[in-house]
Parts: sequence; structure tokens; C-alpha cells
Amino acid sequence: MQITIEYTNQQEREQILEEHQDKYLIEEKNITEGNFLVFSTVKPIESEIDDLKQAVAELSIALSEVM
Amino acid sequence: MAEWKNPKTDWVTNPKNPVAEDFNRIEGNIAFLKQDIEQKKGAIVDALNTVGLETSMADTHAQIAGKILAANQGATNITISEFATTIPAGYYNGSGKVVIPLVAGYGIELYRSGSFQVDKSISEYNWTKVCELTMHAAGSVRISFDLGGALHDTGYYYKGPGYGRIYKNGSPAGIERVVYSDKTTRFTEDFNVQNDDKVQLYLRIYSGTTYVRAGDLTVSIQIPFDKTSVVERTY
Repeated sequence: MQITIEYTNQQEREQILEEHQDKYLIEEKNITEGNFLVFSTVKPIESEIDDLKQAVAELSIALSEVM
Repeated sequence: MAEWKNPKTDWVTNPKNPVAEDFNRIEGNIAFLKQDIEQKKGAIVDALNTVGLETSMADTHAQIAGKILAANQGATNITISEFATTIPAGYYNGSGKVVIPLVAGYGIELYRSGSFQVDKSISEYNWTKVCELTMHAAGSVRISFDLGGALHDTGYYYKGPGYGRIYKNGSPAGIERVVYSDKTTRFTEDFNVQNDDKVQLYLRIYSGTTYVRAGDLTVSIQIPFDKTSVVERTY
């Protein structure tokens, strides 16, 4: 699910980002219609892949230390 | 109706005493000329009224000439503001253009790029131009791009900030975008552009072990009139 939240100033923006740390910021729009932050509640697939890459990297380091 | 009679134009070389017939010819030709002028003026007045330029027989020739000159629209550009935009009355010199204004929006994608990447070997820590688009029209456009946080995955994972920014003609124009993780965020902003403006995407990294990537740089607009003026559901 995507959630779009409008903000009008920088303080409001920071507050929204703080309040939605459990979600993924996927887009920010500063357009004629207003300023918007777009969050996704679903982890983006690229994040899943990156997390896996990081896990593999950490595992490799752990293994090299053991061996 | 008066008729034209050949005038006698040799009074000097072939003089004679004028008689009634001569005066009738002269007066008749004057009457003919007056009638002829009025008829031709009437044709001009009718034609001008037909093309929407209001004139009347009561106008003097100077007034008619003034009205014709006043209707000259010169090199007027006509900007489309609705689906059927009315062309103002008058005549044009052929140099004007019908212009579709650029209105920022999502309706029509004008351009979409591939991906770009910047690291220390390319740019040190300076802003680096990775894409440049030349505008051939004026108005406002919506520009979006994906910005991926900087990372380096050769065993260790560095997640430094990566920066992206839209420039115009070599100067910063958009908001400086920054991402602190390796997640991709899309940034969208509207810009006013002029003909021949260079719209550029610049990237920058923060530390030597990172890179920043961007992609799907798009330029989009919307149709410059209300869509329901073209089609709307009525049943």
C-alpha cells in the first residue's frame, strides 16, 4: 500500500519522516499541486536484494575470521 | 445609369466653342465616376464585412483604410488554451505560430533516460553532469528521477549519502536531493523552462568508497486543456 502525505514546510517534512520510519520512502514530489512524501508499506524488492547482499557480505567476513 | 463617354482632350490643339453636348459629356462622365467609385467602395465594404471587419458606406476611404490597418495582428502567436481555441479576428503576417504551452503534469511523457552512475574515479567529490536535455519549447515541465543511495559492495557495505540535483543552463535549479541509504527514492519537481534551455541532471558523492546512481530521468507534461472538453462520460 502507498501513502501520500502533503507537507508545507521543512519542519513538517521532518516530522512526517520521523513518524513514518516504519515505512519506505519511495518518492518525494515538489510540484505545482504541492509538496508530497510517498511511503510504501511494502519493502521494495531492491531493498530485499540489497539486504540479502549485505547478509552475504557479513557472512563472508564472519567466515573469513573463523577460517 | 451614367455611361462613360470618351472625353475630348485636344481643346488646345483643336479648339472649339463648347456646346451642350460637350457639357453633357463632361457632367455625364463626372456622374459616371461618382457612381463607379461608390460601387467599388461598396464592393470593398461588403468584402470587409464578410471577413468580420465592420465597415459602412458612410465611412470615408481614410476611415476604411484605418480599419484595415487596425485589423493587422502582425506576428501574433496563438496559444492553445482549450481543445478548440478561437483564432482572434484579423489578418496576420505569416510569422506567428500556434503554440502548445508546456504545462507540468503526468499525462504525456516527453523523455525517459536510462541509468547513470558516478564514483570517485569519475568526479572526485564534485557535482558531475550525467545527462543534458535541450528544450525546444517554453512553459513548465515535470522532471523526475530515481536516486539510489551510495554503496560499495565489494565485501563491505558503505552507505554514504548520494546527491542528485537538476540544473538549468549549468546552474543549480532544483532542490538538492540526498539519500542516505542504498534504497532508491524517486524525486519529482516542476520547472519553468524557456526555448533552448539546457536541463541537466548532476550527481555527487560524499566519500571515496561510494557511488551514487540515478535513472529513469523523465520529463512530462499534461494536455493544456480540460480533458472533459474532449470526452466525458454522459451515460
